[in-house]
Amino acid sequence: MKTKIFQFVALAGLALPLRAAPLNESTFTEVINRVEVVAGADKSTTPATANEVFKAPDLVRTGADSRAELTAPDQTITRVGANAIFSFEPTGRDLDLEQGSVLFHPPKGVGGGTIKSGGVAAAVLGTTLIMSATPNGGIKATLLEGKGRVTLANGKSVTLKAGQLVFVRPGGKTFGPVLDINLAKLVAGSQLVNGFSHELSSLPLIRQAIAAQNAEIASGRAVDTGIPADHFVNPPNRGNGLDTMDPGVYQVAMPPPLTTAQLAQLTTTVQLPGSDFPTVVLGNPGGRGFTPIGSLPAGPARAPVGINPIGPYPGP
Amino acid sequence: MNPFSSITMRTKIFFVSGFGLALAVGAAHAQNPTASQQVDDAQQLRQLQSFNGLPGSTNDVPEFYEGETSDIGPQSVLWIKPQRTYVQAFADEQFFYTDNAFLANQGKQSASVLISTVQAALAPTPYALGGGLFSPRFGYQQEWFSYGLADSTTVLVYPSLQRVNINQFDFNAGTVFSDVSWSRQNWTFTAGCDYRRLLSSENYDEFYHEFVPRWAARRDFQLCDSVTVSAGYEGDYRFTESAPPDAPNPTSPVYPDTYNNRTDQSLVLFANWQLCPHTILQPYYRLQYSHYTEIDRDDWLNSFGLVLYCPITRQISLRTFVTYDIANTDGFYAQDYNKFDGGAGLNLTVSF
Repeated sequence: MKTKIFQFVALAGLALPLRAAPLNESTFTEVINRVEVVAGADKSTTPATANEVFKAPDLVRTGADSRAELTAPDQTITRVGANAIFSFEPTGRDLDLEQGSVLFHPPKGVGGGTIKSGGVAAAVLGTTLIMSATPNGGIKATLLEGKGRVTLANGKSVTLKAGQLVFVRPGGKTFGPVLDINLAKLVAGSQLVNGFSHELSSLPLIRQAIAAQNAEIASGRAVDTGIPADHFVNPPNRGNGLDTMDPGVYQVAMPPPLTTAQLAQLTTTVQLPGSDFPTVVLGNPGGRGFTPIGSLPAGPARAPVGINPIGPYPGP
Repeated sequence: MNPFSSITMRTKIFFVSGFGLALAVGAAHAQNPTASQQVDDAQQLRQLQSFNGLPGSTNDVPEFYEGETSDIGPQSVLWIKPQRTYVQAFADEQFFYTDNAFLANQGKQSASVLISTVQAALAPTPYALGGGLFSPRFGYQQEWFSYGLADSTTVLVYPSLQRVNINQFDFNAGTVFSDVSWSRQNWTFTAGCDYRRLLSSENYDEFYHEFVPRWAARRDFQLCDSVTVSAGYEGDYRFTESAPPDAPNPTSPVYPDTYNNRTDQSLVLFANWQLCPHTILQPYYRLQYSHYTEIDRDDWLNSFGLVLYCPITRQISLRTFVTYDIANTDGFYAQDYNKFDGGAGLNLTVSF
């Protein structure tokens, strides 16, 4: 995991306060089912218990249907979901998430924090974010309240607001689309929000975001189903260059040069009464009334008459 | 008398195109469907649909690992309707070289060509209908074809039998179009009709018009994040009217005014490959069969092209292109030909 090609950074603010206290320890405020602490020094494993202080560089490992809540001295909440492997970094305000999901809520003014997954990291400031990770590089970030900006280390970034989700597929290198998620449904079914004995401190803010989204749904501007309408794909134009127009239509305006055979059809020679010379009669080529010609037709050196007697005949 | 007769045709072209561009820029706050945006949107749509699975499946975001939904909660995708727009304006300039301006078999005439297009349409944001998206359009398009802007080519012309500058062949096309499209999953179906007139650029005299019912179907395939391939069928019937060849030779065939009536059946294949956020490569191929119903004529067209799109903004895109056509015909006044075009274009599209 440490060799991930890119980084994934979600910023709920533009910068962390300069004097933020380090986030390298928290107290287990609730432990549900099988939660273990793996000692960073000797890798020994002990069951986690409520009120136990958990410090870097130890790991938290949860089993199936298990979860834990940790509260830092500055009231930063970290809730760890099932089958997760998680730890604090010794310095700064960084959290390592090897796999599983965490809900992270640093209260405003305490300095936020950064969630890392191997070489991938997500940082938040004064908002509530759920991040999940897979060992093969899949990342999903969901913002429950507030606003945030998500940036990959390669420079790609997206802005998230409450109720939006963005992901990088397992093995992928780019963001998927930013999706609007039904926040009420998500929160109602979320063990990380509801699966603890006490209320999440940011729940009032999350409820405000749900109310705002429900208002959007009630007004009809948001619909909980279907395909985004602005993703409709128009048919491509016919082509470029002269292919902009159908060639059969184009040829009416720009007909090919008359061939000898075509000229033979379009012209005839007549002997007019009182004339000493035969006269070439030129037919109308149709279309716009004139057409290119490869070479002059054979004929007598005098003005033609007929359907289009235009100008003196210059001769072949 | 033509009110524009006191200004040159090229001045008119640039004036009208510039006016169209200015109008479009004035409305640039609105959304638009430029080629690059279409590619981007198509990719996002297909990406979303690929996660949603087969038609009829749920619209939940899938789990990355077992038990994720239990921890996070169900992630049901919301459809946020975009701000509804009703009018789409479009301006496009292409300047290119063609080695065969008259689509000739022998004695090909090369030329520089400027095609200027402005278009405005009532094209409301698609409506949800029948599990898909329904998109009606009604609008007008004007195109100007101008030849020899970068050269002074002359052409021997029948029946005057004089050499004239190739720009004497400049013409323009006015098209009233209307169509409806319905799109669901990776399928798009279109039916519509056009009324088109060809006019001389000198005095705007009409020398051809056609009424064209048309229909099309297209299937899109997402190969990966950056590559999509589309295959489509297009069909039409053209009710046409223009002056037929009128030969004084008694043995010559007599053509009716409707001698260009025909049906066209086309297979279109194209791909969009997003090389980077600001570059999209689009190879395409068209096979078109045309059967003329009033005279003895059948045409086959093989058209190959490669376009490189460079979106500047969501409204404006540049492109450079090459195309190569091979056409075969058994018509008496038409010719087999091959043709190469190469050039660049600038497109601006807005909706408001």
